[in-house]
Amino acid sequence: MPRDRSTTELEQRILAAIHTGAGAPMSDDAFNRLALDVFAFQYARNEPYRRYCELRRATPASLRDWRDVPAVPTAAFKELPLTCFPPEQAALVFTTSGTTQEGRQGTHYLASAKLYDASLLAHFEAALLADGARPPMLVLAQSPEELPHSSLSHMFGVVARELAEDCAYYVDAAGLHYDALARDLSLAEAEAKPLMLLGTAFAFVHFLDYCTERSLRWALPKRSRLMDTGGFKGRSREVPRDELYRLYREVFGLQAQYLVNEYGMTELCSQFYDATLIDHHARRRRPPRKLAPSWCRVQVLNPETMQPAGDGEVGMLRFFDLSNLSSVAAVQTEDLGRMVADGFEVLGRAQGAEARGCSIALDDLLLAQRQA
Amino acid sequence: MTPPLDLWYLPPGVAPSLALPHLVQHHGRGSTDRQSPSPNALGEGQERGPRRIAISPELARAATAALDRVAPALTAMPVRQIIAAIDGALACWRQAGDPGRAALLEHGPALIGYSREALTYAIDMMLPRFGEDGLVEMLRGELDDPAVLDGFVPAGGGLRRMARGSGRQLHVFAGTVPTVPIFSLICGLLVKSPVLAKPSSHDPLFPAVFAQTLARIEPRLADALAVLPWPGGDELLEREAVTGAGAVIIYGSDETVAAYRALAPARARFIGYGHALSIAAVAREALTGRAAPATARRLAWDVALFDQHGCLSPQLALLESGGEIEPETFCALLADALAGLAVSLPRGALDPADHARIRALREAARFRSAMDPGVRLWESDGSTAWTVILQPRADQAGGCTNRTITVSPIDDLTSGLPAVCSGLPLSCIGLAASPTRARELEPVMARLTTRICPLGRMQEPPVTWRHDGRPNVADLVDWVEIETV
Repeated sequence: MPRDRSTTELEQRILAAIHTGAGAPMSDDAFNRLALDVFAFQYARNEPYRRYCELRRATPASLRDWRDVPAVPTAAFKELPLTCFPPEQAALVFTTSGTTQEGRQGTHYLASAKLYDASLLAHFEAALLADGARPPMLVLAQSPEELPHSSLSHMFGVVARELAEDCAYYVDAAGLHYDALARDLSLAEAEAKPLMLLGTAFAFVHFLDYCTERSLRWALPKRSRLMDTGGFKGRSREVPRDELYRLYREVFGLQAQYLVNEYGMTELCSQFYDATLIDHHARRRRPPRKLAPSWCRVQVLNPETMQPAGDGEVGMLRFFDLSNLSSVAAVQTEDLGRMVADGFEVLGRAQGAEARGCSIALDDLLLAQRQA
Repeated sequence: MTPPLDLWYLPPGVAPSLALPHLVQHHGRGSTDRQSPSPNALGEGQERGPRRIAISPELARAATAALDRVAPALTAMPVRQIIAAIDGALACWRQAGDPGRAALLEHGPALIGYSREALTYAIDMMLPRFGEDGLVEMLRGELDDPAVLDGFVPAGGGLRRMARGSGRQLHVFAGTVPTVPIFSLICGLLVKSPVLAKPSSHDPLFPAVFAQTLARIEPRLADALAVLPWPGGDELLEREAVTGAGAVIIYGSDETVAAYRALAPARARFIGYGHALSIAAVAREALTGRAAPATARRLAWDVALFDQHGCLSPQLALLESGGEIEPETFCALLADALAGLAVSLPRGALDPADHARIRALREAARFRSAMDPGVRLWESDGSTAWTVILQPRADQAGGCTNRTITVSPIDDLTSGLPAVCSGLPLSCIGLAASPTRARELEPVMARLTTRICPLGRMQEPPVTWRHDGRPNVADLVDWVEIETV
């Protein structure tokens, strides 16, 4: 029966899994043991989570399988601090962007940066830099100094510090610095040194629109790469992914296999990346999909029944992320997706469901009023 | 042998070559494939899905021209004859074996997302309101004498007066409740205005089948209808559709209404029905052990009929404190009633995103209930069929339609209704209260909404209902007056 373990001991076990490598398989049994220990730890120390579990009639003593661990809805992060430690002692505090339904932001308190950064670096390196390249980073997002509570900015800061020889941010409170970015792309093109572009998809769309208006194009050096993330949420025009990838190729001269989309959320310490570049380096052909690191497992649940979805069936994505040690490991998202081979595909937000004309859900109405 | 079902209707003389059904869609949303346009293959009708056409601006122009050509014939048709034809068409739909009824009930569940039971109720119980008696009553209420639609009628003081339709109408539908577009088309025909209608992708069925059925009863009347299902947001088509229109009537999101308002000709009548929702209010005297079960059943009916897609659907129920029974007890009664309706009046099929929204709503409520004992959740087991959330803070009420209802206790309806509802685009308040309390609440409610009705009747307003405070036909006519002295 799992017993409560000290933070350090569990952290060491998770770090060991992370240092084995994002792609190194962890046996079901090993994952299950660690996951149940993490659940027992969180059940004991995270008071709101314990109450939620009690309501769901789940206790460490009653569970044998990590899949049965109650997953908190992402909305719970908007309600109150979900932590296994006093939240005022948090080393990192990440908040969700944008207006939320209740007018409150989701907040994720982390006891230390250790697991977050280890998880981030191991999987980022595997997904984007497995060839050993350490290209300079051009970031279309704000720096962590400017946005200390953005998990995305934190991510870029850590990756820049640990995995890049150089880094520049092209977004600040004043907006996107189009000219500076265009100039630096031209310089890199002239120097023939591969680079890495990173940023939010909507920032890329704004920059691509700027380039299209001015007929700007580059042939960025071979093995240059790009990582984008996030949706548009009304912050730029909506661009379908195929179209966006076409523009990346046409405007930046990037190769398709060097375009990697990241899927991540404030509520999870681990991230997920397109397998494109990993497959390319491994010289294999596989269907497009996102990969989870070995210390984070994905479930797809039939939204009608909340039972595991069948093969390839669309359902709600749920994660069990061991690196969420200091908050809650089991997180139920509102995103739809499906399993694809050894990974998964993200299909978007349940919130996006189209309403019938003049019918408006109370939720949407309140949201719209707050945004206005 | 079901004949092929066409999800459009073209007025006479519109070149059929422009309307080749080159896009054929099968049952269910989203599964499109291409098929030969040949409409033969007898006996395969039931296997084949309904046929769709792609609409071009040229087709829309041809349709509006055809409608304008038939306008004089429509004007010459006595209103009694129009009413009789409409009555006849709706009566057809109530007959077993009628091809229109078969089309609606066979294809409706997949195309519109309502259960066969809900569609049957709409056809058999709701549409008859738009029969002869109802239409005459509505016209009398709004125009005094329906004969003003046929010619000049003495109006006293030496005045003679007639009501003339303001010209060809454009109707854009929202796909919420299937009876709404039917009544909209009827109103256009009553004022003798030809109608170009754009059905919603959520209900491509009822408007087209109505025109087809009318064509069997009175082809001259059906000639005044065109049903063209183009995808919303096609500005070229939309410009074509409003050109020359005398009235533009839009049901849709606030954005859709605003877009058409900008496009409509300066002199056209513009009527926009934008975003709206409704609430239920239950006074403490309706929360007695005796009255509460019936009150809960009535509320459940309003929630279940059309799955909260209509602007008249309640999405929040306010319970006044101080009743004999606790809010928890009322919610449990409501849950029981919804569970019963899940069987007798099943919800329509949902897509994964709709299910997921309900799951997200429930899990957020469940988490809250673990933190706050005042929050409670009742839900269907193993499905998303119905959800009741007791949320003591009305300002944190949520809902995502498809039979998800939040119940919030408030101290007092007189002060609580304005506090909760001010600023909401409220179509209707469904009220359960004693006659005395109802009277007392009238002035408060009159500032918040344009329709107040007993609980249990929210989805089924009378034919004389003035939708969002506006008359049905009186807004669609120009009065012509002759002064004789």
